[in-house]
Amino acid sequence: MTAPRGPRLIDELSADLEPVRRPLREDAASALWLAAAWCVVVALAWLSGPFRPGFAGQLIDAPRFALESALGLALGVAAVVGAFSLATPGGRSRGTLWALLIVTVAWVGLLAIGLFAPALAPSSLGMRSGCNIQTLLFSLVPLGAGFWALRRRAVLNRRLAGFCLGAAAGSLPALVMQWACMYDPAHAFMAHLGPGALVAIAGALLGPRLLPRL
Amino acid sequence: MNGGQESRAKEEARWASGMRRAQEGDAAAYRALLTELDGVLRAYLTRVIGEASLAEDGVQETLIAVHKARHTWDSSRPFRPWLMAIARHKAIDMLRRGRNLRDATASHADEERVQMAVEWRADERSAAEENRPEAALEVDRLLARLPDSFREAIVLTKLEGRTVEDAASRAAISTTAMRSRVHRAMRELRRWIEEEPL
Repeated sequence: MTAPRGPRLIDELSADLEPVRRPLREDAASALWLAAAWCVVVALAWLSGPFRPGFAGQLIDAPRFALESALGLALGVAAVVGAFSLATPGGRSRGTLWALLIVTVAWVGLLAIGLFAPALAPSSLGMRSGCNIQTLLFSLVPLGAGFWALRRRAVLNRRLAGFCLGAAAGSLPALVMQWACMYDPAHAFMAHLGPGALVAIAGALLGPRLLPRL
Repeated sequence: MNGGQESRAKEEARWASGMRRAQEGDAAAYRALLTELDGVLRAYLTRVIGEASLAEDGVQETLIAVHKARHTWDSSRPFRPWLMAIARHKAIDMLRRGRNLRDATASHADEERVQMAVEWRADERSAAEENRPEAALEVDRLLARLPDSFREAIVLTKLEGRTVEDAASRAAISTTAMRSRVHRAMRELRRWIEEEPL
């Protein structure tokens, strides 16, 4: 069977046309996803074990640690806004992707500096066994929910949208683990950011499979 | 505002209104909008892609994509950037498809060129001349001169031995169009062979 073409195609597309319901704007959808994902990740981290004692005070007392945390959160925000922008034809994705790149480099760079001059004294206080697995597991619900939301939109670049969504879903548990688990930049790279990066790669691989081709 | 900008603004307002009404289920407005977009997209895709048959496929795919994505246009934003993002995406898709087709065709031509040479030359030359190895290279060169859509038609039907119906289905065109492409491709090849004897 061959596809109808020209006027016949237009006739078929416009026949029995139903009203459509517009999805949330990408900024509202991003905010909703971020709020829900944040609640889920924090709740899962809370349920799976205590947070590192004194982490809230460290956020106030150690400006560099607070900056690291802010950059982690900014990465999540930029990544999810990028994912939803890529799911809207003509969306403003270019600036968002640049912002994502910049905050990623800044966060990783700051933690890399921490390998030589850490923001906090490295310690095993609050150490969680299996924090790397937990980072992966905690990202699954946000990742699944994000793909479900993106499937209802029109994604042009499915791989990049999947990568952004994976980066967002992976960065939130990585950030929460920086508060819940022990502080040590080397451990952060291996057990928190590493699994978060794996989720971003998984998102890029899953994007073309899970998101419908336009 | 000069004339060009004014007409562009009017066009934008007309398209936005058409799509707004289409989103509410107005089939007549949608039909009018798609009919107008058909011409605009054809001009754009022909300019970007170059080859008419690929551009034609691109127009159809873009219209289908516009239909599938129509719920994602936000009526508080301009329509043109939304439309052109889809059209650009489809243009890239078509260009990539054209390149893959050229690669596939070149690969098939490598494998089959001797056989092709023998088959075609059978029509043109006596059996005694058929096994000249340089003939294969000549056929390869002639194949490369064909437009992509014609070459695809020859590869699918003459090299891969598919039926016209099967080839048409694979190329996502009607059987009439496929038959026409094969016929025109063969006519071109015969003409070139006559002009430049192997």
